[in-house]
Order: sequence, then C-alpha cells, then structure tokens
Amino acid sequence: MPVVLTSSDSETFTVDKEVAERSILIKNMIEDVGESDSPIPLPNVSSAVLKKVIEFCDHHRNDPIQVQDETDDPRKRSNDIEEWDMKFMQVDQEMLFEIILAANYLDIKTLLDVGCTTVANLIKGKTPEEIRKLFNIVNDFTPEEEAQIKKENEWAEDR
Amino acid sequence: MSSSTPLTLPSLPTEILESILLHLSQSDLTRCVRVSRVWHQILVTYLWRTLAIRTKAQHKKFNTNEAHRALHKHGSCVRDLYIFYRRHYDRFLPAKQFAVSDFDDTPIVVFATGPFTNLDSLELSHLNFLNVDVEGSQKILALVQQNPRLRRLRIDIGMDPRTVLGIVAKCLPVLQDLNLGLQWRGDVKDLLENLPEGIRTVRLGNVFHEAPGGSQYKTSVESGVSATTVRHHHALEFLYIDGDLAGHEETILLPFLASCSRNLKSVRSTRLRLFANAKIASTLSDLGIVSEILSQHSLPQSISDVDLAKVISSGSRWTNIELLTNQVGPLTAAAIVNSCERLETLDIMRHGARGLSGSHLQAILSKATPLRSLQAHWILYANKITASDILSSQWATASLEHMDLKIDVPRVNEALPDNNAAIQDSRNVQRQVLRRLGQQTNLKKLVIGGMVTTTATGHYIHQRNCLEMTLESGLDELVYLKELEELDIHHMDHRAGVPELEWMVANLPRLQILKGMLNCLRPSNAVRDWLITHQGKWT
Repeated sequence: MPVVLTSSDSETFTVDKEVAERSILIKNMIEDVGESDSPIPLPNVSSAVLKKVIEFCDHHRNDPIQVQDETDDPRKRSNDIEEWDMKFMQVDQEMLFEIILAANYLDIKTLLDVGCTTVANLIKGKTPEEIRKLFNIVNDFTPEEEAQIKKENEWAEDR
Repeated sequence: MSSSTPLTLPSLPTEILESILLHLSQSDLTRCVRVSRVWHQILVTYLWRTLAIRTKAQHKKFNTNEAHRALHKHGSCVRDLYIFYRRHYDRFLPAKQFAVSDFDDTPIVVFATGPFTNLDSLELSHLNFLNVDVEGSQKILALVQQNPRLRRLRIDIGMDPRTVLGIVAKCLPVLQDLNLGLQWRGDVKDLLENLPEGIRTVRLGNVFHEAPGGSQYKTSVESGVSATTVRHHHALEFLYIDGDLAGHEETILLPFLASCSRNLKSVRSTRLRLFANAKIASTLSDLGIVSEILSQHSLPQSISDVDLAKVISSGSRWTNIELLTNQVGPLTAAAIVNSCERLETLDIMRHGARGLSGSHLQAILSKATPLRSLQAHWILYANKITASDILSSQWATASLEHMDLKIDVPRVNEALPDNNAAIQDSRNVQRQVLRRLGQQTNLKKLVIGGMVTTTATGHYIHQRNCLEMTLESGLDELVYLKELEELDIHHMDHRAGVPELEWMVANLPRLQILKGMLNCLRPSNAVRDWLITHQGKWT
C-alpha cells in the first residue's frame, strides 16, 4: 500500500510504505493515524531534498533498522561508508546540509549517520585554510590571534 | 551559497554538530578552532573535553604560557582529566592558600578553586607509583571536592584509600566507578564495608590485609552493630580485588557479599583463589557468579594437559586466561578455543606450550569478540600463526590493544633472478596481514619480534619468514594505529630502514618504544646513523 508525501513546496510523492517507514517520524504518523489515503505533509522538507531522501530510503529499503547507536570507535566508523552511500552524498554542500537536517527531522538514523560522517571526512586532515576554502568561510582572525590559538591548543595534536 | 542565509556547518543544530564532531579526532579539532571566531567559539569546548597529556611531545607543547592561560580559560570544559606527569600535579591541582579563621585569627589552609570544576572522570597515575606528601594529598582531595559530578575516579598513586573513601562518601554522590590501583596494607574488611552505597564498579588492585590490633571483629559482633551502620552495596555490579587477604578471605568477603544484591554480576581476582574456597564459591554461585579468571595462582603446581583441559571446559565464562606453563597441550588448546567467546585476555607466554597452534590462535581471534590482549609468544618452533591462518577468516575482535606473537609469512629469496612476481605475491600477502592489524585492532603494544629455533639443530636464530615491515610491503597499513606505543621487531629479518623510521615519526604519534631496528639479521648503517642523530626519539 503506497504512502503519499507532500513536500514544503507542495509537490507530492507516492512511495511504498516500507520505503516511507525508513523514517521513524512517518512510521509513527502512520501508526497514529492508521491507514489513510490522505497525504502526509512534510513542511520542513523541500521537494529537491525529499527526492534525495526517498532515493536513499529506496536503496536501503531492505536493511535492518538500526535500533541503538553502536558505541563503536568513531574513527573506524567514519571509514565505513558504503560505496553507494558515498556516491549518493556527492552533492553540493547546501544539499548535503539540507539532507542532514531532513534526516534529523524525519528521524532516519542511517542517513543522518552517513551525512555526518561525510561532513567529518571532508574536514579530516585539512588545514584551517583548506577548511575555510571548502566551506567558504572568511578568516576573521588577525594573524597574531590565529597564532595564539594554535599555541593554546597544539598540545592536543597528534604530532 | 546563493541563498541569503546559507546553511553552514556551525548553523546546524547542536545535536547534529555533535554527531559530526564525534567522528573527528581531538587533533582535527585543533585545526577546526583556527578556522574562524564562530568555529572557535563553538568547537573549543569540545576540544578541551579530554585533557590527557601522554607523550613527551605533547608535554612540551603544553608547557607554554599560551597553553597555561588557555587551561585557565577552558579548564571548566574539561570532563575527562588524566594526569600522568609528575610536573602536572602542580599545575593541575588547586593551589594552596592561607586564610584566617573567623573565630580566633589563626591561619587555616584553604585551596583555590579551579581550573577544573566539571569533571566526569579523573585519573591520577604515575609510572613510578608516585608517593604523594601530605600537601599533595590535600591538593588531590581538594580537586576531588571541587568536582562533585565525578562518575569515575582512578587513583594509582600512593594515597591512603581510606582517605579517598572518606572524601568520596562526603563529596561524590554520583560516583559509579572507583579504581584504586595502589598497593595498600591495612584492614581490607573495613575498606570494603566503607565503599559508598551507590557505587557500581570497584577495582582494588593491590590490597594486603593486615588485621587491626586486638580482636576488633569479635567485639563488634558481640556489641551488636546496629543495622543502620551496615552499608548496603546494592548497586554494585562488578568487583575486582587483588592482593593478599592473609587467610581471612571468609571473614572479609562473606559479610561484604551479603551486603550486595543480585545486581552483582562479576567478582574477579587474579591472585586470590576465591572460587577455591567452598563457602565463598557457594555464596557467589547463589548470586549467579562463576569464575571468570583462570590464572596460574588458581591451579595446582603441576597439572596435566588432560586435567587442565577439564578445568577449562568446566567453566564457560572465562574472561582472562593466564597460563605460564608448558602444560598447554592439544587438549587444553582445544578447550580454550571452545570456551573463548568472552575472553578479554589470553596470556600463554612460556615456551613449550606446544599444544596451541596458529590455527587455534586464529580460531580464538575469530570467536572472542571482547579480546583485548593476546600474548602467545613462545620461541618459534613448530607453532606459529601464519599469514594464511590470519587471512583464513575474519576476526571477531576489533579491540585488540596488546598483541604478542610470531607471524610467519612466505618470503622469497630476493637474490635469485626472475622471481619478481613471487616477491610481489609475498608483499601482497604481507600487506593484507598488516591491513588486518591496522584496521581491525586498536593496538598499543605490538610484539612480533623474537628468536626462533631450528628443528634440525635446536639453535636460536633470527626469524626469516617474517614481515618485512617496509612501506613497500604494507607498513603504511598501520597508519590507523594512533595509540601504538610499543613496536618490537627484534631478531627478525625485517628490512625496515630510514624511510620506515621517518614514516613512523610522522604517522605513529604515540610510539615511544621501538625495539629491533638494529637487533636484526642485517642491521643497516643508515639506520644506525639516523638513530644516533635522532637520539631520544625512542627508547
């Protein structure tokens, strides 16, 4: 039985129930309301983002639902993005952050994890200047301030 | 980027930002805080969550005026504090001040607050079991008092545990995990009775019982200690106690166990033969607790392979097995493999333990999910773990911190012509073995060096079929071992040279002990020179 979702810009998407229920929010809504033909409004998600989210849920429709956060070593977890997910996440930054926000709102843990890991992997190993360039951030420190902050915190560096 | 308020990383909700930060190392954060003012403001508190200066290089960087000032600015962000260096005790502990009493103008000692007031976890240790003087001890207690939210406290330096317990009872209402590793002589019965009621895990690593003068136990029983003064330890889940109870195991432990509830899941000791005492064993068994540690101390002096195998098969919940004996024959080896699923440490160091082969070791690695330490280092004879053993199946454990064994890989004679393909094959295999170590472990100590014996003559020789330990053959797969502190490759025919040394300097930040760079089959002069010019880099 298909489920109809409406994005913030009033576009409707018809998806299989098992795909829609990858989102715990939607799953709970369906359980609360019962079977119904009326569309589920998602006022926080635009159609462009919702399309991507549905693509992800469709690909992962048969995965076991992650119940509890594994307290794995985060270092090892972050190397652990499947190839499909990595390709899926090759979008511009705005979209990447939009997907993360949507995953958080819709309560889709696997997508949220993949999104956060992707952002973390973008940051890893980069110099401050490289990070600024990547996220289009203006350096508002004076050289002296930046040097001082480096000295304050460099004890925590690996090398 | 075109929209008026572009969605940026720091504009994400805090909980999302936190889950991103979870994937970043503290080292990554040191670069992130330099990006911009906003990033600094948000991230600096995460960067300072853990303050653990473990290496000399870190210590040097911490020893600057800038870092001192930062410590006072961000000290309240620190949740986990580890003090290892003697000099840090002065810097991190509250300063002593003198004040004047309100009553009679006499000077009294008080301690300034800070820099830490929000600690969840405090660990004090010193490699040489630093003995602290009265003032040092007062300062440590002041630090503890200033951090009433402490959940975890570990003290490995010489302080009287009764003083620690006194302060815990008074000031730490939410303490869950107490670990006192110091050696202490005194009334262990009293110590246990005074453990705080809400505590969940307790480790007393080195307590030696000395009965108090007179017959105190008797009088307290006769005088009828009122029920209200008896503490209950209903929250206690885990007790580790080691040392010597001087024959008073029953008088000390039976009343204490009576104060615990069925929440108690595990009682462990390495040297105390708790399960050999019928009364204690039956009390523990009533609580559903069985023996989890098998050590030499809990076994008869000489035990046969058959009997040892029976002992092991009789328990199914071993977490630690330590057998420094040559009685480990094939039956014992099979018994260990059969009951290793909960194993955390396996230590079979004495050579002559001929029963345990590489395939047994591989079976243990692929069954024992919680395995942290595997020491199976005998002089290589018939037994060894081979590359094909290692690569034959996945490992269940991903948490190995200490590995001490011989690894045998196929090596080819490089001098022979036309065997480039064979050399490449060998290197491919070596790379896969090293990749397993790099990606499937969290090693702090890796010992694969050591002599081997020849079957023919029984002579001790260098190991030839060993990992080459070169970048070409996969040393760079160890890049993830950021916690590695010790690497031992002595008496091996390894080919590690200056490029490998440089790589280790750049990629293994915690490496402090490196053994066997020269003590190998073909020591190189370049390595010797490098080690001389970089003296003090490694021990």
